[in-house]
Amino acid sequence: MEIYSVQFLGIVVIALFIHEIIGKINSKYQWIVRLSAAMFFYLVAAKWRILFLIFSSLTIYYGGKCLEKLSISIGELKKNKALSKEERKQIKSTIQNKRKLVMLIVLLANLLMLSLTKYVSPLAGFSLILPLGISFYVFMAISYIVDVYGEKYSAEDNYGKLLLYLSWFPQMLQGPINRYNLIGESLFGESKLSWEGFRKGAMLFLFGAIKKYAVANVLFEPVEVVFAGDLSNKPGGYLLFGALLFAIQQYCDFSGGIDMMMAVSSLFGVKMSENFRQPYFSKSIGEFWRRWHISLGAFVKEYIFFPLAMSKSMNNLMKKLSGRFGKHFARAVVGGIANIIVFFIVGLWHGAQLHYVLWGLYMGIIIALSDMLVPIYDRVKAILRINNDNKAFICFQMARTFLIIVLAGYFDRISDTRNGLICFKNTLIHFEPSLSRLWILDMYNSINHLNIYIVLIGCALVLFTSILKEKQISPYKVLAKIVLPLRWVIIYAMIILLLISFTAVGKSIGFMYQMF
Amino acid sequence: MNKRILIVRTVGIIVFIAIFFAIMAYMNYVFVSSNEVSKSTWGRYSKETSLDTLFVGSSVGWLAMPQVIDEINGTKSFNISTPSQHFKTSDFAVRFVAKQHPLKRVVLIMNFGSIAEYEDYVSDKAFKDAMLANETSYVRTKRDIINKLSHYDSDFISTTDSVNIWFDWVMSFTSNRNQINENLYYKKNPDKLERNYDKDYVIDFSNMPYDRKDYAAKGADKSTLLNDIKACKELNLKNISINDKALKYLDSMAGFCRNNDISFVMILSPYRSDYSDSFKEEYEMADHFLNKFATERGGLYFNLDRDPKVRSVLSDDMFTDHEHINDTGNALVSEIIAEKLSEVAK
Repeated sequence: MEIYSVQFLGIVVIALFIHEIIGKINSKYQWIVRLSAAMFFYLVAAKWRILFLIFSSLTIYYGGKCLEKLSISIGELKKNKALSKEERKQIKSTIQNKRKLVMLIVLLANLLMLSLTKYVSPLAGFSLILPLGISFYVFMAISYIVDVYGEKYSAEDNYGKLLLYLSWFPQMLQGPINRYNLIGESLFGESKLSWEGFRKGAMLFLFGAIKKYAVANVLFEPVEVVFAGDLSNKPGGYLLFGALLFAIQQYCDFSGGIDMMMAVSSLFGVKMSENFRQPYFSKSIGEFWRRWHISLGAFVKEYIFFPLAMSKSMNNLMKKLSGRFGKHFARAVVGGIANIIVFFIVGLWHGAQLHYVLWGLYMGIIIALSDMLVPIYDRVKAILRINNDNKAFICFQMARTFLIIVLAGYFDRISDTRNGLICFKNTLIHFEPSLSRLWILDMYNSINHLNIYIVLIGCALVLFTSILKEKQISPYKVLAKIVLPLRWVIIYAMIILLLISFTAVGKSIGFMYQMF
Repeated sequence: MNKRILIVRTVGIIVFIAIFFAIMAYMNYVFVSSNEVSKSTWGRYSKETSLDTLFVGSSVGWLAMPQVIDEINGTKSFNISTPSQHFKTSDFAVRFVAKQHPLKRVVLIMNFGSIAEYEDYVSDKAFKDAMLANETSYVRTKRDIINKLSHYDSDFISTTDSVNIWFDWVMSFTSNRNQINENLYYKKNPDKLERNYDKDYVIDFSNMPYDRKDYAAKGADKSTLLNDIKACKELNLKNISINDKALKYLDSMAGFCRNNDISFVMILSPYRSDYSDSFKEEYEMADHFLNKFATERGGLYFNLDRDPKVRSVLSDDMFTDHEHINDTGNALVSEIIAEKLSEVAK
């Protein structure tokens, strides 16, 4: 289902209308309207595959309840004076083992379901259309059960609420991976749509739509052209240009979709987790992952990186290494290994293809290496007397990080790993700027120039708002301060840019992250 | 809420929407509407009397020039092909025209793209809107709304369509000042828009169908042509699949003709010689399918792309892109089509 389709618009408008009416009658039940809208959306969009979602929600519901029960029995055990300390310890350990087992069963059930649909079926040669949003809701289910196990919060008693947590429709297309404790309050709470809230939501939706339709979709064809056919005879400069366009396309596609969904969610008073914070302004790859797909970064950090880096074996390794090579090196090695494993998993999360795995490893290795080389950087900076606050140096860091991200596109975008490596080779060895210029010119001549203007205007808008946000200035507030006629002119211009981009592209292009 | 604020906001929303629609109306005036060619085609159709042969299809269907064919065969034919006309619209056209004229032959001119998709909303809407041009505005509006609402099919709807459902303008046809001026000129002089079939077979770009004009003018530019072919080789037709809905409408057309004693002929239009090499396997599959379909449904199928006569007269220079032919080529191919149709008559 397309976001601009009448079905989607219909679901949102009707649900919002009922949501507001119920809000006036008894706002306690607004969450039921949200749940009904989410179920209806999912049923229309995913049909029978809703069973996967229900299965996942049931596992965490009963798993959570079971964990809670076992926790209570531990509490009661403490009060039981009839047992000796030794007996209590033994029973507690048995219960703890049971809790661990419950958590593992729930984790395994969800991961098996994800593996079956996402990895096993393509490898086994049968096509099982990926249930919409499965990667996102399985991760959300995992975070819930692990948090309940860790007693971060208590298990939800109401199954409907848990089902709503997993199925909230704006997060289904491409995330973010919302956390129960962060989204719960607004998701199950009461809300009233204000005029200001509506305007903010509408502007965010429009802005997200421009990113997606006027930039990402218009760039789809040029990127296709660059990476189609035999890449071995294409010069490195041209391929790098393609990767640059892909980086812009990917950001605008993903963050544009998230903006639109956040806007829809905000109309219902539900605040979803932030997923982007101007990632291309990052000064390092580590920082990039704190700004790009933030919810995934936070998830892997909390549920994979930390348990891995703080495991017994890693601690032993750190102790051994710090004795021989010093604390920094030991920490960097342990962190590096954990990072490489984490990004290997992140690569796999994107898909079971080799190019995604290589993309993950590329990211992990760069983070590990840069962490390890920190003392050398510091020494070089001291020799060159470079101040960290120096604007030129900050720009250099941003450009360097951006280049690394752009190059990663060779693994991310190109499904044939051999071709991805050819791109790397040509970029490093056969850059050929003059020949690349001719190829770019050839592409320029073959595409509609109107599309180029659309992308340029769209990019300028994205850059401008990104700079504002980076300076902690809200673009919405800037727009609101502009005198009304001019403000309307700007809004009309944005709408027309969007409509022109629709007619310029002329075909439906889904969201990139929808397939993950 | 304060009553005054409520009034101000309501008025604000109404004014905002009104200005938006005014802008859209202006865009409709300045840019090419999606139904310009259809309007011109239906305009010519309204002047026709007692047709016996109807050519249907998308823009590749323009290779059948009625005046050439009629002169050879003594028939009275009309070509109602319009850009991106898919089988759904062609089926509608055949049934509509058959009610008004004693048709003996229906000739569907297609390429492989035609069987991969079953409809193009913009084209279909443009075609039907243009047909309704003589209706009262009430009937037109009513049918237009029904038309719009009936097309909300999640499997089908695409970005362009979602805009063109409500607004007719297509900016990509007229994105610079010259084109805008040209468009305004044609709006004031709609008769100039028509394809001039009476001229001798000279390439006359000023009389090319409207939406191909700019493209055709570039025909002389080899690099544009090669780019087009390169892009098509890389992107299109690698996975020709036969769309079930397209098949349904094709079957419907064939069935209608069979039940009404109308000969149904399917013609595969030629591709530029260096193009079809890029999808040989799919080509065989689709060609075999069309042949089998025609045999089973009592129709006829001619593959002009592999016709030795067509290949001997048609050079690659006569193509304006990988699949559209200029008028010189169209005239030559029309003579061959006339021969084939005369054999059908026998």
